[in-house]
Amino acid sequence: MVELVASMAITLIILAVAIMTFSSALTTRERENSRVDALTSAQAAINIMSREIANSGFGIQTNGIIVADSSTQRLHIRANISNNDLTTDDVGEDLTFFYDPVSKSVLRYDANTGVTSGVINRISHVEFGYFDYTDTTTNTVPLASPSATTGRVRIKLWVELPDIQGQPTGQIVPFTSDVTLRNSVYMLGQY
Amino acid sequence: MSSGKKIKRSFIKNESGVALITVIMISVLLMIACIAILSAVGSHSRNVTDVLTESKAYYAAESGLQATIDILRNNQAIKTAPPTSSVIYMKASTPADSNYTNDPYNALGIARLSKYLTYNYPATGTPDRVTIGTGTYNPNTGVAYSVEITDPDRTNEYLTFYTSGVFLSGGTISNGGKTITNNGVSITINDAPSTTVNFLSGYTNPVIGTFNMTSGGSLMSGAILEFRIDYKLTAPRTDTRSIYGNIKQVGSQITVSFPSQNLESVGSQIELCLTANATPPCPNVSFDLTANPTNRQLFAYMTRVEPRRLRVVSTGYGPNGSKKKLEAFIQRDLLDGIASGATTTMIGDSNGMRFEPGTSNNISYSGGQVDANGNCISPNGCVPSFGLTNPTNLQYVLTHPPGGGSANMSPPPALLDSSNTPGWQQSPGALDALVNQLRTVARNSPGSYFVNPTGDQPNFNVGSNQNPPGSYALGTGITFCEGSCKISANGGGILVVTGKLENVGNFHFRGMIIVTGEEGWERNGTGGGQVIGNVVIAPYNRIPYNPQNLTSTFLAPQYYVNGGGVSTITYADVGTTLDGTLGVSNFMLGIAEK
Repeated sequence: MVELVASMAITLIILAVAIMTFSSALTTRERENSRVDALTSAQAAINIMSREIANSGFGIQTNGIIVADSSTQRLHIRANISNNDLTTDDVGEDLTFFYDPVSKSVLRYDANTGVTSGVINRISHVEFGYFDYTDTTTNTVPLASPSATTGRVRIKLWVELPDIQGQPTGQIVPFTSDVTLRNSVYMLGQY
Repeated sequence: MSSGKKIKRSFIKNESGVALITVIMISVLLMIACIAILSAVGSHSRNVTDVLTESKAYYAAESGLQATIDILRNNQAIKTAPPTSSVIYMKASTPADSNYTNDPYNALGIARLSKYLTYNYPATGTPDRVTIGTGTYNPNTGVAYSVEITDPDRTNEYLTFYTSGVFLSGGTISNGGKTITNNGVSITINDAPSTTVNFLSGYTNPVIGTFNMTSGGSLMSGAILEFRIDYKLTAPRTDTRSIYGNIKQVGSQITVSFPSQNLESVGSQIELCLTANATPPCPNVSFDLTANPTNRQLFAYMTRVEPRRLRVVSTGYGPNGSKKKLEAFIQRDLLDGIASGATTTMIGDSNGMRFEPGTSNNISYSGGQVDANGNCISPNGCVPSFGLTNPTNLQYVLTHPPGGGSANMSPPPALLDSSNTPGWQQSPGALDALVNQLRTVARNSPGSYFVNPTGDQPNFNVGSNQNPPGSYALGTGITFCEGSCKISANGGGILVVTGKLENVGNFHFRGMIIVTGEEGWERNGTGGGQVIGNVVIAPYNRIPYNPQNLTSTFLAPQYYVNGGGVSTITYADVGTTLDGTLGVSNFMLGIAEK
């Protein structure tokens, strides 16, 4: 009888430890799932933006960036994707990506349809940076403003993770991606 | 009591299966954990695999673009295939010329370069992919691509042109240059209105001009009435070519004849013909106005123009059915194949103009081959040996021929105006835009960009026999002199000098020379120097030479030769010259993922 009680006590202790460990593992898993969700949606958003930003300048004479309307907080690009005319007035040919602090989202505005759509939400901050391939110095820090010779755009997203019980709150995961402008003078010169 | 002992024994006896149950339970838990882990790993692996296959498909599509550009730049078979070497883009975008004979894609109207790319999958039926890598291609693991080439400007369908004729000399010219009167004989050239030739439906040779002789009689003895008809292509591309002709009294006949029966306009072959239904080779056009004094029509046989750009859609096939599509536009060359209107073009006013073509009897300037009668026999027609934009300069050049006389400037120098010069020669701004593009290309080409330390420092030598300014043999390369420079080594391709160009010794060059410095071009001790191509002397860079010291109008052109020997300047098609030079031909205009 004593043996049974002792073994049950030991089992209970082991079970308690196991449950605590399992519980911790579950919250960690939940946190990681949340992080993966953030990563997946950020990746999807960056894919969407990268594809459209990389096409910037197609069918026109510049790299496609509207310099006067682009900064660290927004990026305005044009491309003549439906290259059967000499204008950029078709769907998806005049786009602006910008951060909306109210909805904490990155939005995509198509000037030719007037439609604004969300690319990704739960974003605390967005930053665009610009690299100039004609700069002969080793340019490791992006410029705050684009130019006619911008050849690469850096997108930085700070994604907010939802609070998880038992985990630190206010977690933010930064994502960075560089997009080479295929239609910049420099890149076209590489073919 | 005995009953209680029995129960206890029974309980103890039943305890003997606990271990098995415990092991089974733990095993089940472990199995569940293992399945969960394997499932997560499998899912992650699939995601990674998807990204990898998409990337492979993307790079396969890039390979298709690179393969296409390589063929356009370097494939000798497409260059030498008929009809001519200069219409590579036409051949690449025409299914019958782009694909192998009996390719089923010909019937579909799809040009895919199957004559030059090896489509090898599937092995049976019609191959539709070019596989990449070695070994047997497996669509679930391998990578491949296919390309489709189209002409976005539909040059195969039509062309639209009009003409503008003017008399140049030989009588009293009136009616805006369209009527000439000599010894009471009045002759008028009527222009062809905007005319569209539709190549997809049967067409007859269009009229490119009409002659009317409104007064009878004879021309003054020995009179030669010179005229020019400008052929102006307006669609699908723009270009202007000049057809030169003359009218003479031959016996009782007043004969209209044309020294050059053929001309070439951005790949379109134009041959003068006497009738609407004549096909090449048409007999040399020469007709008597006295026999048909009214509405005497001049016809021309025409072929389609060469596309200036191509649209290439490359589809990349990665493993597991992944597919990526890239669309690119490729431009033929920086000049769009629009050549100068003369072998040596001298642009600018007369104040300070200098023209000393050499005193040697053997120095010559040619705009194409001519026969003993002065008729052009070059297949693509001839251009004036010198083209000048200022009438005073033209008169000076005509009256100051090289040592051998006027016969050594053949065809004779002619006046160029805005109607028959390419756009890039029409203003310093337009030319500077081209020069800037060439400067960029040269700066990115090692050993091609030279800066004179002080702009006009004399004896700044560029190139050497070991490091020549381009290839004379191939006619390729680019050399850019920022300021004045002296070149003695043979070269080829494109030579741009924004100061004074000076040559020493037997300087041979095959390609295009552009001089924009106000001191022009000085050829010293030319010996046996030969220049084959185009020369453009268009000064707008002032001393001291630097890229900012420009003028808004062209200064007076300068060309002077010390010595002469047997040196020549001979015309050659600039499009062909540019074809082999990287950076200025077959370059990407734009690329997008679709």
